Amino acid sequence: MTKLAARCERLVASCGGPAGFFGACVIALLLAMALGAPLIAPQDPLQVSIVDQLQEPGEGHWLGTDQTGRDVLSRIVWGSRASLTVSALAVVIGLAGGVPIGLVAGFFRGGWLEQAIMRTLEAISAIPILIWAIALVGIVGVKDIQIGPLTVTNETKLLVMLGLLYVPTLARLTYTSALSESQANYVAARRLQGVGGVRIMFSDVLPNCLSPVIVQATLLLAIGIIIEAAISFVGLGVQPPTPSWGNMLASARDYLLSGEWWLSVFPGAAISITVVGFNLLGDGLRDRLDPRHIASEAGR
Amino acid sequence: MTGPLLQVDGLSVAAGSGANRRGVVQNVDLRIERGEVVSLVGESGSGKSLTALAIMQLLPSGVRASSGRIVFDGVDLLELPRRAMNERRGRDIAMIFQDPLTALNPTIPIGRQIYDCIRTHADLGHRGTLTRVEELLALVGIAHPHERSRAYAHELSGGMRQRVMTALAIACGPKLLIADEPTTALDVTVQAQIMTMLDRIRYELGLAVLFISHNLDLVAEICDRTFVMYAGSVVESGPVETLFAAPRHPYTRQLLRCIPRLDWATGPMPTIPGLPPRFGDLPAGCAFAPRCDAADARCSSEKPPVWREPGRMAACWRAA
Amino acid sequence: MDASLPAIPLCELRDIRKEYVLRRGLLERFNRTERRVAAVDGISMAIPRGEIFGLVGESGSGKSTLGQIMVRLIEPTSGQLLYQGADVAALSAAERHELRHRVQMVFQDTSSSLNPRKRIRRTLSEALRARDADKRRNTKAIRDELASLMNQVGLDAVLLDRFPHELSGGQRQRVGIARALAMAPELLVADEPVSSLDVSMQGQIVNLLQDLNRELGLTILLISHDLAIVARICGQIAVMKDGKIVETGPPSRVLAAPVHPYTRTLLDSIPRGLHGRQRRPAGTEDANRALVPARSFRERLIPELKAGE
Repeated sequence: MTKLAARCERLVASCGGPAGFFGACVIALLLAMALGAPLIAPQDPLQVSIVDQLQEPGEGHWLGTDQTGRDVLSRIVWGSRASLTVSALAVVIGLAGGVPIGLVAGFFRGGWLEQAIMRTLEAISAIPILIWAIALVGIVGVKDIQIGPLTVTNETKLLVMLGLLYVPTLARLTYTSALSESQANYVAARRLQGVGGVRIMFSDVLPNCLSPVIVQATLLLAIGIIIEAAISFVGLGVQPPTPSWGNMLASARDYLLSGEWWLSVFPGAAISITVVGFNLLGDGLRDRLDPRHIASEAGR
Repeated sequence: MTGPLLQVDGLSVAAGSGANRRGVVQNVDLRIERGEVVSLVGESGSGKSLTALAIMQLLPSGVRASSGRIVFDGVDLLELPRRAMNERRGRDIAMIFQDPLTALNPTIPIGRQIYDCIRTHADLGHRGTLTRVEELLALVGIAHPHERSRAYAHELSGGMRQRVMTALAIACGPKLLIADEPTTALDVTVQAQIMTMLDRIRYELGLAVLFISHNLDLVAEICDRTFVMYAGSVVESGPVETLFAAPRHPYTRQLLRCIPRLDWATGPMPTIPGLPPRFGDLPAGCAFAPRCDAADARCSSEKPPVWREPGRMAACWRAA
Repeated sequence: MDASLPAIPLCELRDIRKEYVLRRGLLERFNRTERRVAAVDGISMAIPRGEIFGLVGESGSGKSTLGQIMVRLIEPTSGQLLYQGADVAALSAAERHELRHRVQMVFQDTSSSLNPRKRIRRTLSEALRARDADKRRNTKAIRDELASLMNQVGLDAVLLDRFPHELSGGQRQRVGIARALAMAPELLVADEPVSSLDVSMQGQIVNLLQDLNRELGLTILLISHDLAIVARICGQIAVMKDGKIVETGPPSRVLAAPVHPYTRTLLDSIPRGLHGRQRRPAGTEDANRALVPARSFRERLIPELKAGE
């Protein structure tokens, strides 16, 4: 087998199979779109042109134009930025908050700390994320906030909120793994070496808790895309004229039945493909990260 | 109705597909007569459990019997369609496993599980089935069967669960019971009780038993004939007394030496150096040669011939 | 041994008890009397320095709990743990921390005793660094010590760069012993070290423990349910049942002429294979007779089946 072919096979295998690899490709594409938006988008997404309103997909505007003459393709490319930023940073916040909380609750178990943490998290996760999101946005409002020299944009508020809402899920996942790994003999062996609890927690237990967390994080990326779109759809997220797949769908609402299909189909497709991509990658990673230990034990 | 109850010829089992395909059981021959107790002995990686699962047609996904015949009561099980095999399983061949906790449904009382099993295969009426459930529980040595039949699996001790699993297995009067390491997870005192129980039901029901274990001393207590497996093949077989008194294959001989016994010997415990080959990663020549104390150059390069005598075989150059 | 001066035992337990409180339903919380289960129910024993001491029992006997109390992974509910004559509870925190290194444990389950994400090299070098913080900087010294540890437990240095799942059970167990040795312990508690291994490999670990005892003077508490192994290498044994010690003494006495009925039951339950009675020590006439095949089990059909509890 040629070196290139071998490397390709390894790459596909590292994503957990062809489906996972496809998901990874979709995400890579998304990343390229978001980062390279100024270079990729053929036109200015904010350029209004009454003359070119509601043009069907064709020359000049490959995906058509919207009701103010803006190029749909460019808006989709730029819209990927909003989706990706919100989704990715929210997951980062969720991990940064959730993983240590779950780790501590699972490692220092059997006390009021564990109970307090877990019950609070359960209370928060009793309400679906989307409901929380809408409620919180309703409270916090859609205007930008000025804190001294910093401007907290609506997007930032959204992603911080989302990140905090991810914390219970990621914490619980880490907690479950931490609970069982903390009972393992290798942890006891470290205790016998006189190593302190916190040190054991981070250096021994944490790495063994990460597999399910990584898988869940990938799936939360998908959920983030949907929530961002949904929030923007109801007008509480990214505000026009900045493009977001959600608010593009919102403005396409009036044209659903009148025949301008390209206004809703393309943003909708963008959302669907991205979400499917993240889900496939998540599934692929799950297959790769978990049963590997089981498979290697199968030799016994 | 003549002929052996179970005759396995040249059974090979392979795992994986395409480039990853590995042979995990190679060319195994087994024979069990009606009412006999036969043991399949081997250490981890020997393929003994997979052989048993192949007989039951319960191999895990990705693992398949690649050749050979498994003739049970005149019928080749490998040729049977799935439905026909499902009928046979439970009714004619039954199996008990090492870990009874996962084999029993934790949400249904044990009596009910046995009841459902009987109902599936036979129609004794409601009262008749209930009576049979209690008979079975008594047969496997559970005191107060009427009260105990309402218990849940997790309320019972390991030994009791093993008895219940056995009752479940023999509920429909199978001809062959396969016991895959049934006592390995149990304490030695409970183990002795379970062995007694197994022998009793064998006697009362005229069952044949295929007993799989890694414990040679245990096997010698109840079995008539033994098959010793190493690295996926049968390396020796024969009546248990002659096998133990005068083993013909070096693996059997060395293995017997390793068993810790209360014989007051001093000095280092005998062991077999090295490791068994990983699944499917067999060396050329005899699979045991790297660890054998009687191996020579011929053993490492050519597969050993099979030495046979009526009722005995050994796969070794030195068997004769 | 000098009979006039009784040596202080390396480790001594005085009336150790470990109780667990059973939590039942909500209603029982209002009931003052809690239900307690004693895993260890008043154990006193002394382990002489340099001895291989065997602790025998079945599951539920409390032997593993006792082992964990001895290495101080668990605190006893009551009783005293003395190390070299000094009550551990009376020591200062610093002294107790120093004591940690001197008592180590080898575990039964080899697949969970090593961190699956760390290579063997890292697991062992972490242990070395934990013992001697100064070593943290001296990588050459660590490399040399790793080589010597692997040599001591009979493992090829190639295995240092592998992950635990790439090793066999026997190899993992040796790594566990090497990790314990890295702390330069005086007392090693081996909790069922060979139960999860194949019979052909058990001897390797048992012989290793015996060698370490002989060459390093390492005191070993061997916890096992296998009487034959314990009889072979232990100088003293104690038989446990339901949290209590029912019999102690040298194996040649306890196993040849047991006093307590439970010991007798244990001995009777061991599968005897074809070798007839195992209880008579070598050197008697029976050992020299040709092996008599036992009557087939069928013929010895036990008339009364021992009913389940």
